[in-house]
Amino acid sequence: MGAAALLCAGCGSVEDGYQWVVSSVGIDAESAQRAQARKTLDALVDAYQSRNIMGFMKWVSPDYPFAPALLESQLSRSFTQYFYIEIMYDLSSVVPSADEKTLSVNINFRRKLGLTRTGQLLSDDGSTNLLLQKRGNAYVLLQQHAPALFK
Amino acid sequence: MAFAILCAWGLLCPQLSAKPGTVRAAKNAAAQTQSATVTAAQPPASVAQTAVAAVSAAQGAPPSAAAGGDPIKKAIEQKHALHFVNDLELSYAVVTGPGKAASSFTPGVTYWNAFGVSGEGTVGLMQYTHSFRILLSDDPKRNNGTRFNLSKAAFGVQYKDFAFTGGDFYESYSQYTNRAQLMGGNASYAANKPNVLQVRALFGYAYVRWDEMWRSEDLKVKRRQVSGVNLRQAFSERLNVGLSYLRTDDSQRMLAYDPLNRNHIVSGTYEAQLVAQKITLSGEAAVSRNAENPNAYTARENTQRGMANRVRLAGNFAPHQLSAEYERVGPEFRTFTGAADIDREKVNAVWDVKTSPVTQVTANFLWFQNYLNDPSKRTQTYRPQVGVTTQKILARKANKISGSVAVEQNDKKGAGSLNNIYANLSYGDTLFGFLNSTTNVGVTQLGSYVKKTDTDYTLRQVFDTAHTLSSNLVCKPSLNFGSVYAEDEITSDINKQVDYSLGLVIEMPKSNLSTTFRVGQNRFVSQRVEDSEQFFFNMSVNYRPQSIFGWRTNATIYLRALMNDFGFENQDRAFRESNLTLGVSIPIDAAYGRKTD
Repeated sequence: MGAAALLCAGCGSVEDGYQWVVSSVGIDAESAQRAQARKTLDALVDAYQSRNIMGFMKWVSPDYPFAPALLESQLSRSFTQYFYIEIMYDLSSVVPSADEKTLSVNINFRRKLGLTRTGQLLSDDGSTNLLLQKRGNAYVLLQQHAPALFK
Repeated sequence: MAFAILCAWGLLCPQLSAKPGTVRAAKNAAAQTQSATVTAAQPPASVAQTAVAAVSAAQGAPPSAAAGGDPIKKAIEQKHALHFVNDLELSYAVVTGPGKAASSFTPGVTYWNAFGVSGEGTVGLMQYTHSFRILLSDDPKRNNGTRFNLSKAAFGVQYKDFAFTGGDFYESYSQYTNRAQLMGGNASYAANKPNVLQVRALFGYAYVRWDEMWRSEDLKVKRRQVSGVNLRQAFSERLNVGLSYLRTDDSQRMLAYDPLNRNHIVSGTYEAQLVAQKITLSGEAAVSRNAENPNAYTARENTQRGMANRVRLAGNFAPHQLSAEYERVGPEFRTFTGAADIDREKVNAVWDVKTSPVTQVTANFLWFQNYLNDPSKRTQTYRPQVGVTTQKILARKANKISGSVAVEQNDKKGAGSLNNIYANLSYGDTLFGFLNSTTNVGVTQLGSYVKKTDTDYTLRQVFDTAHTLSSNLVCKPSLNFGSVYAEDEITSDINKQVDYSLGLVIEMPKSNLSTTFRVGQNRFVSQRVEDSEQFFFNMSVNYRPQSIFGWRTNATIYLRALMNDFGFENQDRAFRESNLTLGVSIPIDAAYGRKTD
């Protein structure tokens, strides 16, 4: 409905020098934030699926609670407990803080984990929230909310 | 939906479509710069990227000013702006086999559509923003079991020093008070003004999705109301303090044994540069009072009163960076929207030094303990870690090596101690002038209180290269191999996992076309549980047309195909999943303003 109003208002109406202009380049702050969130999540998912702990920790904030070192220990143990790791996700929304130093990212995910202890392939899907913190030119993982995507 | 708008505009308004103008807005210009910066800062991409990740990256790649720039030529003084984006996917999945319940795909034809509209503008002295996004899908695995999902709804207004955000917002007063996205209202005064008392207030609910509000019973989501106020004052460039109060109230328990809490937190934060740009002292101290109703069968409330505090001292003496942090969170402290590990005391020290332009050394020491009020159950953990990164070893220009070793000792009262060791090594180089090689090796030694030690190994080797065959053709083949050798510390079984894959990326930059192929296998061999193997094939084609119906665009069209074949010793668990997806992402921007020339 809003788009229809936009069309009607824009067609052939130029008053007092004001006019509508339209493009399809998609330059706006929200698109840029989604792109940045996607880059960070893609890097984390790729490192997690590849069992690359050093590559994964490069994308983790020093302010990760309780300490990033514990996450590193936990994931190092997890990598040998899974014989198969697969994560797919869809970006649901990105909500920035007022100063845009933190992004609250909501995703829907589908995941398969193969457990070496039982030989089972566990499949689940759901939604979760992650916080990303700006460090330099990129965003890094600040916190995971339940259910944790990387465990 | 956005595609239809674009077509209609092109057909109905030829005079406007023939006279494009340039949209200029401070925020979007910043986004343009930001987008270009993001493109430039792209981390080294792993060649083992899956087709899904490649598509996601292509979808999310920001518009590049370098790729032709904004086609709208005339500058206008923007008053209002609207941005639409529509991502539509049609998928066809086939899942066969007795074990198909484990598939991640929904059989048949499904759609997934994300439509977003956002905007900003000025009305007199007031600036406004808004952002809405909906997800439509008939795939229950991609949209939380619902066909319609309002994934974001937010608006904001700013009038001089006052700002208000309604709907979805993220506001963090401090670590212990709130670090959660809320839905409600967030107000602030002088939020970005230095040396002035800044005031913030919030009220909302701790939902992250709107359908949690009206589907709370289906989704078993407790209602948690949050309200708070924050005062922040910078006394100079080197000292700022904050005081926060936050209250959380639970209601609408979902299960009989769901506890409901009423929690109050008062927190003070501070940051002081003891020596300007060199030594910084920061920290937070908080007290909480919580009343917990443990279940639906009693009106009794358990009261907990606790404290939490943390202090951090950081030093910047280039090339040395040092930090030391102490934190104690009492066993009775409670926070339901903040971040705190209850009943923990820790010390964390980090030292980073750049010993040469190409060498960096990092040392970290972590100590923590739990059961602060009950030493008989306490476990103390010591975790020293050292890491080194260096480049250009032995006069090789392109090599880089990183390594780290961490030793984790756990001392548990009455049980003794155990040691875990984590060692990782990464080596990257360019061989024969064209072949990139990355090797990652990991060794994890896990101890136990019964003096049994198990050692696990991980290996990842990637070869990749890029060949420019013509001005419009670049080929990037890759070979990826990985292995895990693990001994189960409880059953002493040996488990081996091996995966290998071949990848090929074909890029046609002048045609804005890229194609990715990947084929490989993953095998798991165990002495005790059943073996399994998986064969996979991924393909994705991404195309960014220069224009649609004469309109310059940053739209993306993609096609991806995927096949996973899972085989187990027990054939009752085998299955195959195949998926074909066609997707299109179209952004549209509209701006209303006055020509400046």
